[in-house]
Amino acid sequence: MIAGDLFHRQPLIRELKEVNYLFSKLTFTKVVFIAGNHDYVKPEGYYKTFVWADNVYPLLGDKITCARFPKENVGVYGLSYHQKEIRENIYAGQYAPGQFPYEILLVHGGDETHAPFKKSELMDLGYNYIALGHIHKPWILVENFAAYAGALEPIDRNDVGKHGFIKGEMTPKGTMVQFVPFAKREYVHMEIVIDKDTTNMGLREQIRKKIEEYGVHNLYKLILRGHHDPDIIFEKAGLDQYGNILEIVDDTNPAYDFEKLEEKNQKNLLGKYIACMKGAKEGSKEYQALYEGVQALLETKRGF
Amino acid sequence: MKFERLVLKNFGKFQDKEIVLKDGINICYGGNESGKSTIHTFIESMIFGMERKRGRASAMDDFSRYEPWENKNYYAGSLEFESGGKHFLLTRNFDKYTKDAKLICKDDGEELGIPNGDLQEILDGMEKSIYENTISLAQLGTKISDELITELTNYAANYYAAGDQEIRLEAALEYLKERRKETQKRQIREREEKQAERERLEMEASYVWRDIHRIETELDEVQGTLEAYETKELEKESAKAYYQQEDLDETVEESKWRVHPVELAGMFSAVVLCFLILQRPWSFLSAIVVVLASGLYIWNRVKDGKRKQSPEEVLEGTEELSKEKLVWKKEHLKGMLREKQIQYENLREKEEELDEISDEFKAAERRCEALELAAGKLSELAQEIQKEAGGKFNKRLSDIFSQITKGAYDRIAIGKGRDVKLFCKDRIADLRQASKGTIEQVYFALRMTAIEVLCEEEFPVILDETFAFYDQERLETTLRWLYKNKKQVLIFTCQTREIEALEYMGIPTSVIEL
Repeated sequence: MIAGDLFHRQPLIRELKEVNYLFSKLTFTKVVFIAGNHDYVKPEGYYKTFVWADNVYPLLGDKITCARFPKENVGVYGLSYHQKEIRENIYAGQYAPGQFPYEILLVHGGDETHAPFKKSELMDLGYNYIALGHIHKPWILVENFAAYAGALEPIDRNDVGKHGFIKGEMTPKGTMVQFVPFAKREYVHMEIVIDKDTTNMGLREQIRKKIEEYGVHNLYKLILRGHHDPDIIFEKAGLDQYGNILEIVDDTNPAYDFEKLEEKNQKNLLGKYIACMKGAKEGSKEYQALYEGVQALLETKRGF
Repeated sequence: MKFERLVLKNFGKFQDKEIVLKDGINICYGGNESGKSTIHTFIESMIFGMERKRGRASAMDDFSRYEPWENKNYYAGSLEFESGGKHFLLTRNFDKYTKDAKLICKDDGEELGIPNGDLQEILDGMEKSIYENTISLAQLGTKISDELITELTNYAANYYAAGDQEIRLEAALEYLKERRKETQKRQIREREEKQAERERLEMEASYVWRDIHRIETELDEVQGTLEAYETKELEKESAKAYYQQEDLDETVEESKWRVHPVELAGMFSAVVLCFLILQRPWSFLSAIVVVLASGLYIWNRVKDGKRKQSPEEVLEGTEELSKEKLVWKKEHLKGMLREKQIQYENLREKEEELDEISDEFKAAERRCEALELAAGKLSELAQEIQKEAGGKFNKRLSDIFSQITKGAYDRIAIGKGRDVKLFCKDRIADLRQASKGTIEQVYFALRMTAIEVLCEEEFPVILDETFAFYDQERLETTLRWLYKNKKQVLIFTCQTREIEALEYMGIPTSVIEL
């Protein structure tokens, strides 16, 4: 089941042919899919006319239709997007018809501009399972009842975390679903915490260890956090030891002892600046300004 | 800090000259050429070392001036002092070959490293420039007042800027500006990258668009030809119907026979006639001519007939074929057009998504804002400090000055410009109008104020012929002020009036006679 956005944009005929070929090669699997906000059904698009393999059941209407699997006692319901945005809660009141022992609803969206819905409303519709699509990140909305499968593979470098699919089993006892990791590589935003004793070599080792621990096959964006020795400048070159670091963001601040500095410089500009700015919340613009200002004063001090 | 003992081991004219300094006022008395300046320089050299000047200037620098008169390779001394309750021994060798310095804490025997900044730490940020401007006070008598005023105001401006000699507001602001520029550069780079990507997409889109256009015209053409065929077909059909009604047989017969049988019969009879009319050999000759002529005619007609008939036949065949082909081509083109149109729209969509601002861009923007905020706040605070410090500075300055002039002036104000104003009870005087003595006293007060403001630790005050222009009364009040306010004072003089005045006032004094 593909709950929308099989394609990121309007599919080209050659792309449909490729994907249809792949679907047709499935031995006993049947494919049900709907169109999402990215590949919505356009009047001049190919979804309208494309002829799919026998085991593919597109639900491309803008009203809920059903893909019937009487042998398996399953009915899969769903509707497709016919425009980029749907601001109405279109799933409200779309109760399960009860034609099959097991009924599944494909739902795409969930945010303000893409078919907003309430979790409780979905739970009240009476389906055995709701397969959600739209966000790239896998997310179990309701345990064993509703889940976003996310993208099979990360789509861009900000699609962090594991990617895969949702595998489920329906029995008279109920529905059991679980997330199955599938993507070979993963984008990772990794925080590297450093302190005033961290040197370039130490940082290198720390990064290497952490990457080895988490997997050298993954792709990393490192975010350096913490307070570094004011005398040490981190060289970004040479930190990428496995060739899998895409970006290094240095969010560290010099490890100034503001209290000591303030006390020592009570009468002058440095002390007054610290006194004036020290109330800033960590992460705020003022906080950043505090560090920048102190750094500027100290770096340009006579005799340094 | 307090000096305890100076030993000029070999320095200028002195060898193993020991000077013990006590708390309170010390007077170093001696005539001209007795070595007062030498001692003065010795103290400074002991604290800050002696840097040689380069090139020609080296002939006139302190190093050359105070090079020992005898045994030039031994150029050394020691200074014992107390600081923060601890006693230290500082020894230095100044000569080229054994130049070094040693600092030992006498209480625990620990040797401290001068290059590591241990001495600096003891001096608590006291630097040579500050030392020269405050603690060690040479006489100004020879300086003209304009120069003096410039010096005073420069000094005050320096002090006002940041409340500290070490902090340089201008440089700090420049630093922040540089960082902002750097961040902005990064932003610009990102924008450029985006622009390049946009251009790439636009290029791709324009290719696709051109394809669309080409397919459209091709489609139009195919459509046009198809329509033309259809109308032609219609015409032909109607024409056919017309012929069928009007002249069906003739047209069919005409088209059937390329050379009419009557003609063939005529030709045959002509040959026969030749044999009947003419005699041999003329009959053979003319018969050959007739046969050739008629052969030529038949060949011509056959060829003619082919030419007339074949275009129609060929045309009819291709028409059928190309029509099918055209219909197929039309469908194919339509499909291609649709594909290209979707591709085009997808590219446009991609381009629109480029307008979204990236997190990195936002972070850079925030950094810029933070830098701006820092610069703004620093300037603001600096102004505040300037105002506050200026006020405080002026107040303390006025205080000291009024004490040593016994209230003749109650206030000095140093403005931001070059003017130093002296306030009496009933008038305001410009420093330019004041006497040399008064200017010296302003200078004295100013430096005493500066010491208080700039140095946390109290340093000894060194006065070199400072009181030459003071009248008796102001000399006395100034000495009294020094006695009351300073822990250790070292006065160099070539006169006895300071000693006499101190004796007269009953102030304990340690006199060092050179």
